[in-house]
Amino acid sequence: MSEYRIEVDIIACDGRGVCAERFPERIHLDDWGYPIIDPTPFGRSLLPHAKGAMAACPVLALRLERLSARPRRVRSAIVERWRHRSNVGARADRGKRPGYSRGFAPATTSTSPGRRRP
Amino acid sequence: MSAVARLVAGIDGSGPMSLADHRRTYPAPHPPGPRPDLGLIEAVERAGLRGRGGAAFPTGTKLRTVASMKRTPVVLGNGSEGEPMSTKDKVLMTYLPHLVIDGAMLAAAAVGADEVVIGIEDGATSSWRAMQHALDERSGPEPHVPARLVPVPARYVSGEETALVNVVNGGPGLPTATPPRPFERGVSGRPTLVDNVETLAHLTQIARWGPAWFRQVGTVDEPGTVMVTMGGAVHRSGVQEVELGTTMRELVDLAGGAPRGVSAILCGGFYGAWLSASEAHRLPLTNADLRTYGAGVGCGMIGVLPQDACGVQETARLLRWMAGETAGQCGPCVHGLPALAGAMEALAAGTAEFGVLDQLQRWAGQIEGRGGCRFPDGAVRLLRSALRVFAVDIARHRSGHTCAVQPVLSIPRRTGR
Repeated sequence: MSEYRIEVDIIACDGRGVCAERFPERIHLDDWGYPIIDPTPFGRSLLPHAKGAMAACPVLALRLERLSARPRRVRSAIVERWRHRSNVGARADRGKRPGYSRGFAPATTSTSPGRRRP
Repeated sequence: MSAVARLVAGIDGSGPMSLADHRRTYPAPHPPGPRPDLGLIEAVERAGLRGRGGAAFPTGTKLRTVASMKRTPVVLGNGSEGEPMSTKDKVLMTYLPHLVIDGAMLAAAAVGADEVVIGIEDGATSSWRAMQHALDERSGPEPHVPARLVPVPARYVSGEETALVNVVNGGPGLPTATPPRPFERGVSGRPTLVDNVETLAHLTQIARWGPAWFRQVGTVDEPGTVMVTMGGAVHRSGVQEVELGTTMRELVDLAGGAPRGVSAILCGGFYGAWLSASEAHRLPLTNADLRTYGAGVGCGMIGVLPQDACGVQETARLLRWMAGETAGQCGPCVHGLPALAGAMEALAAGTAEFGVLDQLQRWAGQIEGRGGCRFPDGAVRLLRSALRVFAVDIARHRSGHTCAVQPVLSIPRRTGR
């Protein structure tokens, strides 16, 4: 699933304000009736609103930008979690050295989010 | 730190320097080969030259980017000095045209360009005549890249790089939507190196004397000299060449001092910001130091506001002028700038409504970053600096006070539109 962002060509824009009516989740108007775009990416659920705003614009000043696909981000998040786990493991090992904070190591591992099943 | 005559060393007041005189110091640049001249780009990078048009972008990086493009690039010299209080580009083109043209030729060789265009503001007749004569002088004896001059409408935004490209391509000289930026697609759709004419003149000197020489003056991060135009209430207004890092105090002294005292300094012209006298006093003229106060070297215009003037009134005048200079393309600029100017004028007249400061802040937030070019951002920067530097005066004006003083900064009455 992809994420999207909407952009306005402010030079082309006429300030009719139709876009803000069609896509209030990401577009509102300034004091003079020109669109201010919220750059927060949105998912497919808002795509119909975005496309409605684009089609309704009398000068076609809106453009849809497709951002990097979501699966890649998810994968990198998983990798991050694995890294975190291996770090935790290393710390736990260090804790087992003789005479070194015996009560400390198990506490660390038990609070580690890496040990919890997702 | 003080005045250093490097570029201006060739000015003797008797008119433009001839090609023969110029060649006594500066050998003819190599005619450009089929490939970019990376040696020159490296020299510029080592010299640490930054653009002198206002954005202070590293020139070496720009050269390298344009040189790496697939299509044959064009070099576009920007001599369209839209800032009405700045004259340094006109002085350079009028007295040292060959220094500028050599720089353009060297830049062409560096990026592998086969065409040079130099845009000059309409009405700058002596600059145009000197540059045209200088190009004619070259047509015989020297191998060179075909070069031509293009007249640019005398309005503020026409000096913006996309607007300049637009003029050269036969358009009305208004900023165009980006991307593409000129380095990707500019003159005739080809990659275009847009450099201010002072930057080109520095390029000539770096090619002649080397990067180490260039770095002998200025600061480590911002080496070299810069042309500044002193204006406002100074004894001798006009163009000076100084090291980067010269303090504001020294700049005012170089201009013969400020007979009516200093209450604030406008640094960077219309596209710059106000500094209070105490801030400016020991502040070095570098982008790094000025950034602390939201200002920059910009076009190098330094306007001195005397102690008997009103900063609120001056800012209102500056903003009103900027509102008239909008290209008229983007709503936030077309409507927002007159709104800022109107509110500031009401403040100056002592008739501002309650909540005017909140209103100004709100509008500033709504205008900033929303133009097709950066022009409206300049107005917002100027306004914010005024709200900070003249806070005490503004408080008095809000309670109905008015200043019966003469305006100081020389702003043209009407713009060429």
